[in-house]
Amino acid sequence: MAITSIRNIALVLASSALVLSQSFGRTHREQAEALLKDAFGEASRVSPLALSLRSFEKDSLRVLTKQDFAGDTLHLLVASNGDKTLGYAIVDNVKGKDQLITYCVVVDEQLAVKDIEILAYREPYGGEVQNSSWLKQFFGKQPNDELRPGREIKNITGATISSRAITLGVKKLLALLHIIQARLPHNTLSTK
Amino acid sequence: MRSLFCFNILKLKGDVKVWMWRPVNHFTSWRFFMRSFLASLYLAGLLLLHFSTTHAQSDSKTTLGGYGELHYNEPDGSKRGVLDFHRFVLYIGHNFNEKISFRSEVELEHTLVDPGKGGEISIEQAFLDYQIIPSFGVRAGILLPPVGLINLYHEPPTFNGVERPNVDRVIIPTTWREAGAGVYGTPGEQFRYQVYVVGGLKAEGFSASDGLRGGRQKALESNPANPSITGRVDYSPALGLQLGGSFFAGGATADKDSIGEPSVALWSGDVRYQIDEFSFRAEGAIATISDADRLNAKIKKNVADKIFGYYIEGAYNFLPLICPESEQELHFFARYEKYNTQAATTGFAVQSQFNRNDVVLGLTYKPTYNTACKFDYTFLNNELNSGTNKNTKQLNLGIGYYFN
Repeated sequence: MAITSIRNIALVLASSALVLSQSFGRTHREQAEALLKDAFGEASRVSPLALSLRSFEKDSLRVLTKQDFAGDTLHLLVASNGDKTLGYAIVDNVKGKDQLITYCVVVDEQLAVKDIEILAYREPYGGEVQNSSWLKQFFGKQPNDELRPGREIKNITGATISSRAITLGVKKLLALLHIIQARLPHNTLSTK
Repeated sequence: MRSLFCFNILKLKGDVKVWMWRPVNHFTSWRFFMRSFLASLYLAGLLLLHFSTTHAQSDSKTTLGGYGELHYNEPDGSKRGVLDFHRFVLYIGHNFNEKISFRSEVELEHTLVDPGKGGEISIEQAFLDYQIIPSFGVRAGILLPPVGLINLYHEPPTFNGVERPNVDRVIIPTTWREAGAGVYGTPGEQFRYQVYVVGGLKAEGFSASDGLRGGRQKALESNPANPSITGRVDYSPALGLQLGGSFFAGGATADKDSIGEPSVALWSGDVRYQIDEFSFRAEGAIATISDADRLNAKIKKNVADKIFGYYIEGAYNFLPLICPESEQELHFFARYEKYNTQAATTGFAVQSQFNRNDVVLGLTYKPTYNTACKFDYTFLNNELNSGTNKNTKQLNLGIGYYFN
């Protein structure tokens, strides 16, 4: 009995270690960089950019989307190739039922969504929003497109709160990028 | 059933050391399996706690939410109806950190606890949850056996019809909660699983009309002598399509000598599909009860060997036709349910009044995604259709909400 138990314990430990080895390590920043490189090619250079938001920009966001941006600084990653700006990535949180959902949106220089991924889903239920077939609904969406939960972006039965939260989150980020577009590294503006 | 789950692995055999898998189907192995399972959970938890603390951000907060529903039921148009605040539920949750949380639901049914009229206060859920990585988490406490759709997703605006489907009442005894522990996760983006060991059913509570319903221990000083295994797999192959398979299996008594050794195996499958303004769902469930004849000799309840049921439901949100700009929803729905709590019996003839079917036609108006006003007309039919078991009709009105 004792020998069997020890072996079972060893098995459990070994399998846990196996699970572990595949999971930890990459930060959200690294994940966002990888998404940018997936979207714009390995050769693209990724650099961070922090923009402090002006109060009229936050007011505009509130008027446009009835949402607030948490904090006063927008952190982006910018992908570029030589002088040419390719696109941007933003990591943001929205509140699910009880927990924050961390997601990353990649847009091209025209602010059209190229990719979106859930970086951390912490709720006990409703994890279906991580499904790429659901997230693909956002591809190509631009700031002027309607993004209504349950309309342009279908909700997921059994994950309504999470799917709504992410839809509203993407809508907020696109509107904010639109508002500050002139301040982003931008091809038509860069005259170097 | 048990033998499926009991593998006494890596056994030593005689003088020659042989590594082998050997299925064992006696009770001691079952207990051994249970012990190993719980020990494994504990060890995995400890180990992973050690590794994962560096990644957890502090995000401690307590959250409050809830749901509720008010019902008006009027039988057959001739009698007076009943107005009932059927459920009032509060969620209380706490996030200890990014990975460890507590979730609970406290329910008050029928507004007050009155020994004459019923009503109850109960803990519907209360568990500690440790999401170690997305593909593997552990939880323990009072859990919902994840069988069928309504037991997991029971907030009133998430389903059509004032009353829950009868399949989710008498075949899958919703709301069903038991104390236990288990694991869950999302190993691939399309797959999710959850498997728990929970307190079993008590066969003494089974009945001819309500199936397994009276057998729930509800984690009330429940007898752990018959742990059961329950689990669910969700698979979403395409946008809008969700498939689920679930089960609950285990022994159903602690009192073997007097009522035999009844055990229960319940299997269920469900489909949800949404395209444009159409939504569709279907669910089927079948349960077998072994040793029902010896159980009946003792409790005299005409418990069947087999019970089964299914329903199909289609709905169409036609508000966009009238008002394309609106984000509100107005669904017309129709549901057909068939459920038989005496599909097969031993020692007595099948009683046809328990072979029932319902037709439900109704409207669900959702001013917001989490509030609903419901109306439906339900035809309750049974195969006997005579005497006190005449087919009936019922008008139902209800409002429901949830928030967090």
